[in-house]
Amino acid sequence: MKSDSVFTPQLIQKSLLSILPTVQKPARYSGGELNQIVKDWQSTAVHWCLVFPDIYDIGMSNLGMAILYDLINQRSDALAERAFAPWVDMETKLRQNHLPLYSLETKHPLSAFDIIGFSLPYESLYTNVLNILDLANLEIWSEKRAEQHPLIIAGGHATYNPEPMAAFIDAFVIGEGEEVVQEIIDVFQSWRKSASSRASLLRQLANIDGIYIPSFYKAHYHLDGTFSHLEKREESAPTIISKRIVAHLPPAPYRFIVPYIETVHERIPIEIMRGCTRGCRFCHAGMVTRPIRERSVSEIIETIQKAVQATGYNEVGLLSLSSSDYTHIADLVKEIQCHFSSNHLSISLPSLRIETFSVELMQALGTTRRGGFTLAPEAATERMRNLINKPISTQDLLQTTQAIFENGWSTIKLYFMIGHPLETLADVQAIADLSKEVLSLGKKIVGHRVQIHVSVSTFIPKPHTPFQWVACDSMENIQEKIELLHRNLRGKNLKLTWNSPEATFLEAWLSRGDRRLAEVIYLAWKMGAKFDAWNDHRNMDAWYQAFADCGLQPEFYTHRLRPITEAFPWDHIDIGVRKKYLMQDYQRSLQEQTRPDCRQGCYACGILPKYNSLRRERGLTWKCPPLKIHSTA
Amino acid sequence: MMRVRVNFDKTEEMRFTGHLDLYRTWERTLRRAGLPLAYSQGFKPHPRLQIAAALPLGFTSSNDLMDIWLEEKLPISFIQSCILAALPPGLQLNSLTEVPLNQPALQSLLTASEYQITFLESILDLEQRVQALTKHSSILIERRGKNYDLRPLLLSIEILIHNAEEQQRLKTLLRTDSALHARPDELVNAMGIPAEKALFHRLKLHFNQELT
Repeated sequence: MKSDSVFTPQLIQKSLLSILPTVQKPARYSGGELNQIVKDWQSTAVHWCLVFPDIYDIGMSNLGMAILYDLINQRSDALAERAFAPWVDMETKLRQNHLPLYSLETKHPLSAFDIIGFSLPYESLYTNVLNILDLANLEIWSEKRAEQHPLIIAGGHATYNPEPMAAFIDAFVIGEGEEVVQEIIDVFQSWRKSASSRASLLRQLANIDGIYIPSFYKAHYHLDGTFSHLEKREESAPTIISKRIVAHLPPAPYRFIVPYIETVHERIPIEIMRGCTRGCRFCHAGMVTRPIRERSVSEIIETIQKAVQATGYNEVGLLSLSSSDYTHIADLVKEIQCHFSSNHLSISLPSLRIETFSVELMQALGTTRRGGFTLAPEAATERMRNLINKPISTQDLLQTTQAIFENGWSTIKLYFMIGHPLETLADVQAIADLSKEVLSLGKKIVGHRVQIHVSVSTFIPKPHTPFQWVACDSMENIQEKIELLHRNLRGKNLKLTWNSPEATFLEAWLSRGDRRLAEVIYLAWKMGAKFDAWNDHRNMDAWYQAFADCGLQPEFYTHRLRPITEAFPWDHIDIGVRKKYLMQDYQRSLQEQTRPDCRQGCYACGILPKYNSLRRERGLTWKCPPLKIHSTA
Repeated sequence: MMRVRVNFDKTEEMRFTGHLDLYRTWERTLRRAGLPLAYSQGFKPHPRLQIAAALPLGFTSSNDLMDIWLEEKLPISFIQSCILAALPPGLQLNSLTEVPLNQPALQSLLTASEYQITFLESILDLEQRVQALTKHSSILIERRGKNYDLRPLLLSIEILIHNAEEQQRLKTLLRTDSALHARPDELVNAMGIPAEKALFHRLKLHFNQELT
C-alpha cells in the first residue's frame, strides 16, 4: 500500500483551490499549461515523476527536463509528469495542510509514482532533494525505503561525482539520459512482472551501462581521513561505471510546455551541438560532455519552425558550450536570416569565442543591442589564460571589443574568474586594468553611453577536470582579490558583480565530497538549509554546524592540494577522458603550456577508443580528428 | 489594417494567471495562430492588442473583451479558425467582430463589471451579511496603504443560491472605470469572510455605449 493513498488527486485539487490564492505566483503549482501531456493514469503502466529540485520558474527552463519529458511520454507504456521545489510560502501551506508534494499534471502525490527522477545539474540543489523527499512523505535515506516506495533516481552534471548523495539515491544515471531512461523503463516493467524484491530490481538496473547503484559498494578511508577505495558488495555490479553517451543526438524536442507565468528563459532552446573541443582546464562541462556531436543546419531550421508554431515564443536560444565551434555556424546564421528575418523572432547565440567573427555573426542575426555583448576571457593576462588553457591574445580581445563597439553595441559584459591556480594579485589587477582599457576604447567609439559590466566568479577545482588536484583559493585571498577589484572598478560606466565566496565553497565541498558528506547534508537540511543556490536563503551556519557535528572539516575537501597518488572518491566514474590525460594536462598547465582546440589535432584524451565501437556501429557520427603524436614535454 | 474585437473566456486552467501573463499568453496564442499581427513601433516591438479590463490573479471570466490589430484585412471566419487552432487550455473563443479603427479604446468605455462569487464553505448567515453590507453608507477598504470607499461602487448585489447545503453563490455589479474600481474579493473581505474561501468569476463587462 502506498503511504499517501489517502491523498487522491481530487482531494489535492480541492485543497489547492483555497491554498493557491494565498501564495505568490500560484501558477507555479497548478499545471495545465499549453503542451503539457496528461496521460491516463490507470491504463499506463509506468509512472515517472521528473523532479527539478528548484522552483518552477527555474526548472521549466531546463532543457534536460524537456528532453526526458518528451521521450518518456512518447512511450505507450509510460507517462512522465513534473514536480518542482515549492517556494517557502507554498511549502508552509503544504505542511500546514498535511498535503504531500504532488505532480503538476494529474496532482498525484509523488509517492504514488513508480520512479522519481531528480535532475541535478548543480550541487547546491542537494538539500532541496532531501526536502522534496520529505514533502513527499518518503524516507530520506535510501536504505530505509522498501518495495512499495518509488525508485529514486538522479542524473545530471553534478552526479559525475555521485558520492555525496549516494546515501539518498537508489540509482544514479551517469551521462546522457536519452537512451538510459528507455532501458530503465524496460527493466522496471520486466521486474514488476517477475514480482521479485527491490534488491533484484537494483541488480538488474546495475547491468545497464551508465547506471550506478551506490548501495552495492562500501567506501573505505585511510587513517588520515583520505579516501582509499570502494569495495564491491554485490558481485555482479561493475567496478567502473562508464558514462553513457548517445551516438547521434536524437531529434530535438520542439513541443515545449509554455508556462503561463514568466520563467528565467522565455525562449525555445535548441541544442545545436553537444560536447566541446576547447579543453579549458577549469571547465567541468567541457570534459564530461565529450565527444562533439552536432545537429544539421536543416534539422535546426526545421526545429525552429515547428517550435515557433507549437509555442508562439518569439525568442530562440541556440545552445552549445561553444557556438563558434559549430562546424556550420556561418551557414546556420545565413539560413536563419533567410527563413526568419521577417518573423519578429530574436535569436540568441550564447558562448561565442572572442574573435571579430563572433561580432559578424551577431550582426547577421540582427541581435538587439540592448542586452549588451558578452565575452568570457576568464582571465586577464596571457599567462593566466595559457595556464587555464583558454589562449586568447590580449590584442585579439581588444580588437574584438573594438568591433563590438563599432557595430553599435554600447554595453559589453566581461566574465572573469578569480582564484585560478598560481594566480597572483598582479593577475587580478590585470582584470581591472583590462576592463578599464575596454572602457576607454568604448568611450572613444560610442562615447559616454558605454557600459562595462564585469562579472567575477570564483574558480572551483571540479572533479574530472585537469584541475581536480588543485586546492581552492583561501577565503582571505579571495576577499583580498574582490576588494582589489572593488577598489579599482568604480565609476558610472563600470559595474562589478561577484559571487559570494561562501556560495563557492559550498559548491566546492559538495562537488568534491565523499560519502561521509551525506550526514553533513542531512544535518544541514535538518537545521534548515535549503535553496542553497539562493543568496538570501543560504544558511552557512547550518552547514558549518553540520560539519562540526560530523567531525569533518570543509577545508579537508576544498583547501587541500591533493597529491597525484591520492585516490578520488569519484575514480570509479569513467567519463571517457582518461585520468592520466587529465594529470598530464594538469602538469602542462603548471608550465603554462596550452593544448589548443583538439579539432586541430588529437591529444588522445581517451574518448575515441572508449566509444569506438559505438561510433562504428552507428556510422561515424562525431568528429575526433585523426590522431597526431604531440610531444608531451 | 484591421481591428478585431475578440470575445473570450478565461477558464479554470488559467485561474492563477495575472493580467500581464494573460496578455503574454494572448500574444503567443496569436503568434501561433499565424495571423499578420500589427506591431507597435519602438525599441522592442510588441503586437498591438488591448484587453478591456484587467482581471486579477485567481479569477476566471466569461465574455472578456480584447481588441487586436492586423496588418491586412482578412475574413472573420478565417481569423476565427486560425485562433481556434492555437488556443491554449484556459482560453475559449466566443466570437469575433470587426470594429472601426477609430473607435475609442475599450478601457475608456468601461463602466462596471458583473461578478459571480461562489463560496467554498457554507456561510450560515450569508443573507444577514449581505444585508449588513448594503445598509452601510460607507465601506472603507484599505488597498496598498490607501483607503477607499467601496459602498458607492457597489451597484447591486443579490444571492443566487441561498441554500447552505449547496455551494452558495452571489452576483454583484461593481463600478469599474479608469478612475475607480472595486474588487469583489475586497467585498467578500468586507463581509467578514476570507477571500480564499470563495471563487471569483467575472461574468460580463458593462460599457457606456452599446458595443458591436
